[in-house]
Amino acid sequence: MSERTVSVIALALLVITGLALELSARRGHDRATAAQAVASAMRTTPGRAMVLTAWVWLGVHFLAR
Amino acid sequence: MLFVSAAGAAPGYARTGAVLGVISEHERVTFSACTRWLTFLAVGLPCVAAVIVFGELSTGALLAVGGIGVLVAVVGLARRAGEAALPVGRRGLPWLGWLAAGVAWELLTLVDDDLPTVSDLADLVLAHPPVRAAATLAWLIAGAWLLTRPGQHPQPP
Repeated sequence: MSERTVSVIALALLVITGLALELSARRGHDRATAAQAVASAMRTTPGRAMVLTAWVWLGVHFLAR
Repeated sequence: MLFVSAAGAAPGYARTGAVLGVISEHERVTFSACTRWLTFLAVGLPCVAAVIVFGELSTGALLAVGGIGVLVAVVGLARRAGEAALPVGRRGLPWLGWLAAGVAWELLTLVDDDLPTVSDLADLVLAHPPVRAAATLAWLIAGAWLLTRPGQHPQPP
């Protein structure tokens, strides 16, 4: 198995896990949705700064670098 | 007489005032939503256009995305976006674990030269202009969503 395939599988697993967490939260299990978790992280100034910085980094890194 | 008249008229005026207040509130909300959409389009469309036109690894795309990113971050911090969001407590722990797993994998790929990073894989997909435009739009929508998180706590009367 090539390194590229390993990386793709790992990322696919990560995405599937995220989708499963989101679905589980929306079906009423005792979990927060991704949106609730991100919004909650923005309650404090350091958390808000981290979330906004992560968003800026994602844009610059993937779209403009 | 004047007192009676005033007392009799008061409920009508109050009701009219309340109705006008609701209409005014409705207009304000509609106007606010319209302004938000226009602002989003005025800022977002040039950014998407710049990313498509200038392409990968270009100064133009970097200025467009970086400029809007810094602007949104500054506005979000100044408005304290998200300050009044509901806490999730331990219900958010699975997402923290998920994020940690993602960061750990990215670090591993950065250390191991043979493993392609997320960026290496994403670049192949984002090389196509339509996909790049869609990704830029999604990024801008996420930024607008972050900005509209509830800000200030309601002040007690």
